[in-house]
Amino acid sequence: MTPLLERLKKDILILDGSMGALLQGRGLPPGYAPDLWNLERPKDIQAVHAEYRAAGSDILLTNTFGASRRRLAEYQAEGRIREINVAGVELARRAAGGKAYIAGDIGPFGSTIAPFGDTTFEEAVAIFREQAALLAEAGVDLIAIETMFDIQEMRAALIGVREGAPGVPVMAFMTYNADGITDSGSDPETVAAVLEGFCVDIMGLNCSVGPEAMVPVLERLGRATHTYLAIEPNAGLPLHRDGKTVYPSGAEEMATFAPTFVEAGANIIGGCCGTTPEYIRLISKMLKGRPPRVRTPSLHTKIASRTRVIPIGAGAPFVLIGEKINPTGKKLFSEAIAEGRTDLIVAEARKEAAAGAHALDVNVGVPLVDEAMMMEKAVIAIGNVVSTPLVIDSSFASALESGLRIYPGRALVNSVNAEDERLEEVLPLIRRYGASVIALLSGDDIPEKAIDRIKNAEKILKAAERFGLSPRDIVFDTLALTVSAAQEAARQTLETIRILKSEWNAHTVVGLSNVSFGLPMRKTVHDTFLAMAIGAGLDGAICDPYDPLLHQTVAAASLFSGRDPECRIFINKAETWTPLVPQADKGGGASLSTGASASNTDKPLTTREKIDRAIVEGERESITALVETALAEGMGPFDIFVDVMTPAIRRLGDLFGARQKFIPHLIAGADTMKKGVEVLQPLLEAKGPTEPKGTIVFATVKGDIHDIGKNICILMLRNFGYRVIDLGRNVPLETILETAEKEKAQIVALSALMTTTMIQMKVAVDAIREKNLPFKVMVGGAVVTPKFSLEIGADGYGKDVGEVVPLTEKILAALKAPSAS
Amino acid sequence: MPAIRLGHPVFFHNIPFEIEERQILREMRIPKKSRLEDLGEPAMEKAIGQAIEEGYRMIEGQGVYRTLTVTGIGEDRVLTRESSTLFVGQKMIKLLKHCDYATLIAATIGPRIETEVDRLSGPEPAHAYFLERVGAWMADYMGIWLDNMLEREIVRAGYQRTYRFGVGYGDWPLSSQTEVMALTEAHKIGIALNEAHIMIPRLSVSAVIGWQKPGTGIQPPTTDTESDA
Repeated sequence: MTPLLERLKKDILILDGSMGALLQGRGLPPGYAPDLWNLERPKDIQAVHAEYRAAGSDILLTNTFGASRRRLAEYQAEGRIREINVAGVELARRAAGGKAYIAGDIGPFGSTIAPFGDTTFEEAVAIFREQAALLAEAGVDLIAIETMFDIQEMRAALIGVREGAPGVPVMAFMTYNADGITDSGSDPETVAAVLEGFCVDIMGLNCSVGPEAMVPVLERLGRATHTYLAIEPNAGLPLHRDGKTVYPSGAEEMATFAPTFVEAGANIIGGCCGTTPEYIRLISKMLKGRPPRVRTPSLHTKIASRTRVIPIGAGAPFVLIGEKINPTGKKLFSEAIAEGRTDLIVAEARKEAAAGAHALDVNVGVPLVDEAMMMEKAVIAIGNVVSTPLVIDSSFASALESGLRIYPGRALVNSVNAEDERLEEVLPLIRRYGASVIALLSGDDIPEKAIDRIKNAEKILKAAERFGLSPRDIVFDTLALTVSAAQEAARQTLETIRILKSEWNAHTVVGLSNVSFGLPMRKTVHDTFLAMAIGAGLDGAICDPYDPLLHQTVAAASLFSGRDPECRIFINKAETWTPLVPQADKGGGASLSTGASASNTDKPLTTREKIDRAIVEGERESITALVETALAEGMGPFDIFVDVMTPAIRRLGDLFGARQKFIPHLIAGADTMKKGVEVLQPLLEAKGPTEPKGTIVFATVKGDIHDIGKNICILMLRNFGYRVIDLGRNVPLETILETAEKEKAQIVALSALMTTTMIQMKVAVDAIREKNLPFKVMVGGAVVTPKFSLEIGADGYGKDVGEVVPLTEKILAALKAPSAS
Repeated sequence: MPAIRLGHPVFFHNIPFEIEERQILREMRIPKKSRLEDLGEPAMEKAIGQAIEEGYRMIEGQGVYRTLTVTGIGEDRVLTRESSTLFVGQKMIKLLKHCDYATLIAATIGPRIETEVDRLSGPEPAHAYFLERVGAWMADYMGIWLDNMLEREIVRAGYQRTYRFGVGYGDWPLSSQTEVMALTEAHKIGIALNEAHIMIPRLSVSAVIGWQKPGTGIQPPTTDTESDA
């Protein structure tokens, strides 16, 4: 037979359909492993293959979807893994009779993989490697990896297959949901970028939600890659009718989609769940003899996270690679890494992404730190909070590998150079993990002249080809040297960029910040260099994404370098920018801000008014200074508390009541007041003890450990001059009553957040009534209702923190009032 | 057909997340605002924004689910192959009576926010409150993330999900939490129970979701109504 990949150049090929549906028709019990029938019911398996072959299938998938060691272990059949896989291949081959290709079928291993799951990446690789090796040994023509929901599992499978079955063509199917993304959030473009990194021979989509919903996904794949494409739709999502599983799309309906699939770029078409030989027969009849659509290859290098892809190259937007995740010269950052902490890394990643970085360089190199371990932690932590693709940066191959292994995307590695030893240790990692690499054009030394840097580029490219990499896997760093130290060498950097772009159409980046070292006005220097480099053809820079001038320079230079058709990006961005130099054009912000504003003409606020505003607006940071100013101006501490702060917090309460302010405002205001009172406290105490307005014992009931609401209520009460004894959470009733008696409390306040613990409030009320204790009981908490409060006989119920002070005042006023009886 | 992951817990670590300002404002019961800058109050914007940024540094989203096979309905309980004592109560019967499977889920954001809230509760109560609200929403978020992941598995297998029912709601006793934790092996994602069957960390969720045949049972709402945190 013609080798498969040759056939695909000129023919549309037909895959088979569902195996499970036909085996169930032959008596396979629900829940039983179909793979075991390779040994137990081989005639049935061969017969199904033969049916598909007769229907027109050019490729038969072996009945080995679940025949990995991990999946077979669920049926205690892992010891028969070899027999099952070898038999699966043999049965398909017999049915094919030399007239169909045999695809060794591999499905998911049945659990989740790191960083999501418990199975380590290398464990998963080993599972796939073992099965792929058995299928290759048995003589398959290609291997099909099917029904993958997570790009990370696909990465492990591809490595396993490449290692277990070297040289065997690979067809890789992901499964997408109705929204066009995989379970773990990858869109077709991202999947294409990641799979291209592994040089898969055929990309595909299978299973999923039925033919109609799969068309747009196939179209997107067709635009994103020129790799051969395959599609195996379900016959719709399954339904349960009369105790049976049925599929809504019939064979004729499915076949009507076949031409659309070809138009979208499909080279191989088959069926998944619910399809039968009849479906395949109709599809085959419709497509036999049709030529495939030829698609144009993309020339960009692509890097990707799990959910986002960034192209690098001519015509694509210029790529800003954030340089800030790097401990060099940063004491706190270095200390955090030395302690194994990722909090500062995460904060920086968020900040860089928000500042507009398209990719993030990650360097965790601190002396005496296990860099491999720390790189893994950093890559995971960043991936949890941003979707920006990563550049994994280390001088240690072990750190590069641990980052690449755990990264569920296609990383860019920083870096390799022309030194033999470095090439030998880094390039195999790029190949194994499907990454791309930055190639520094240095060797044993840094060449001054462009021509010598190009020689290093040639050497790197040859080495890359030897390891199976393509020029699209490499981004050259042309070495931005310090202009103050080596003026001609810096100029040669621009020349190197020009040659690589115009003569090789290669992709280039530079590390920007060094170029201006030693000079004044560094930003002006390196941003000007950047504009010149973009003009010469530069595609990206490792740089400071917080520099606003840099963003404006890149956007403006992109106008002149074919990266911003119709100037749309620039115009859109310009709407959000503050001009950094005076702009004379209409509406361009003609003058620089002097700090003067309309508010300067308003009447200035007095200190008293400022304190009021600080409390109402929750301006915690300003209150201490304001209270100190008020004291310095001669106001008495008691006056500040009673005449300024208390009215302010009451006004805030009124605004809350009017739904102009909300709970967070109340809390922030109360917290601000508390901070102000802390300034007054020593002065008030120096004037002698003051009589509290009342005493309240406050607790979260036994069994309940939630207390944030209680704490906020206490804060409010204390601000209003009440004495509050805070007993904390999960407090036994005896402790509450003993404390209330000892402290001569008027009120016992109880909080609960769970339906299962609020019943403790009733226990407390009953005990107080039974013992005829003098305390009033007020209750509150998320699950407590006025009805419940009434039922248990509480004296008051507060809906939220806004009601705690008025309720307390009401209860105490009732206590002081003469008894009606 | 994609295999249903039966017979063992399926764990998820390092769940990616985004802390949406809109959700945090909703959690704080501030109506009609979707962004912090919509507040028009710099101090509040800064304080809540700081809590959100701290959330990004402290949250470690993890979850687990385990699918059980429903074998029958008793007078006061739903029986599964794995347990005859877990799903008790009339509400549980109503929820699961048309289901072939029932999946237990547990999720957490880890202990760090909670520890920080406890530490800040005295000296900086407002900050503690903001951080706690961020944590409360994000615990729910992890449950929803898991829920969505599971829902896709349910749909692909030809079933429809029920709504999510939290342990301790209705007549499903909180003491069932012990069995939920054991079956999901939730200790492996750092969730334990105290003597009152409350999950530690508190910012955790646990629930059950049924797999019902389409067109049977109670139709789930577009958003979940019953969950615990």
